[in-house]
Amino acid sequence: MMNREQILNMMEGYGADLQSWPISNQQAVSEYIAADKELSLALSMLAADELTFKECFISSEPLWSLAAEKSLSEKITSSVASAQIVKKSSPWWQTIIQRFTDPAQVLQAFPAVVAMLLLMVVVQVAYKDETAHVDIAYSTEELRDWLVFEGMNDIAEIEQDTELLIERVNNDLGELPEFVYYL
Amino acid sequence: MNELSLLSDKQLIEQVSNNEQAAFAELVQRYLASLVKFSTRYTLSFSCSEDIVQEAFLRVWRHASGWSDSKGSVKSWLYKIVYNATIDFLRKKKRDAFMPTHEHDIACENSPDKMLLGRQQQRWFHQALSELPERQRTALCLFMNNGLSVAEVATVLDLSLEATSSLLARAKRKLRNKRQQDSQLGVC
Repeated sequence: MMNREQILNMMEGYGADLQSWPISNQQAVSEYIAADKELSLALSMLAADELTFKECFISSEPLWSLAAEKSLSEKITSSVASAQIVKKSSPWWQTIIQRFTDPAQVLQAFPAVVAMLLLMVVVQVAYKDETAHVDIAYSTEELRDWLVFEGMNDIAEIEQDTELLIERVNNDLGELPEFVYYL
Repeated sequence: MNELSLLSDKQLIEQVSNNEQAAFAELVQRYLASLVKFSTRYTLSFSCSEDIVQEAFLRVWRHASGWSDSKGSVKSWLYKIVYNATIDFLRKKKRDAFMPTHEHDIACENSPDKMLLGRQQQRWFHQALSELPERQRTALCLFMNNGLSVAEVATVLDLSLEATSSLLARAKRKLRNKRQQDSQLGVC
């Protein structure tokens, strides 16, 4: 709630015309002034002062002839019409921001964005299935390393397992003397 | 009545940004005289102010697409461009800004039928105005003479709403105090 002092200060700043005050204050201030005779008097004195100042400003305004006004107006509009005045296009980043913040353009692009997202989901699902069958080539040396890594430290065991694996693969896929294609 | 004259400043500037020359001409017609008169209060020369305002309007034409609500009203945007250009001009000329006009060669709108105040009071007003700091004078002139709102004055001067309101309050208080003092001395 505003007090008397604040209203007096605002009166000076915003002027005697309450319409030019911030909208949020207008109602409260007009009610306050209506109930306070001194404030009401201060407001009317301020209005009189402002009128005097305005008249002073008007009477001291430089007198510019209508002919000069017309001539300059024509000069400005004709210079714009000439090809020499090229409009500066807005920078690229401003265009992008405008495009992404324009609801009409965003709505227009919406189906394409949804379709793209769906396509990405489909591709991802298909890729997941594909990874199970992907062919990876391992040399026997690499296979041995892998078996050691898996905890089969015994050389004989490794040899046996590797041989077994190679044999299996050979049986399934044909001749693969050096490389193993499936783990 | 011209159709364009019914459009708001915002609608006009939107059309100007789409290269509509008729809209631009309407905008020029709407603000040319007041901008030249505003600038002349500082430059004291119509020809200098005409150049300043012409350049300002060409800038508006080139950069109309850069205007948005965040820059304030179109009116305050125009005044800001002209004010800054005028101050730049004065800096280059190294001349003091805003001298009372009637002391110089420029004819003022003080013809007998328009004159609402006595010559003595006018002289007093010019003197009082010239004693105000530049920002206070400009704020007062824009608010009282050019009909800009406090928010629009704030945009022109690059100040907050509160700072502008207090600037205007100080300016009015100073003018009133000076009038009180001078009337006691019998000056005004």
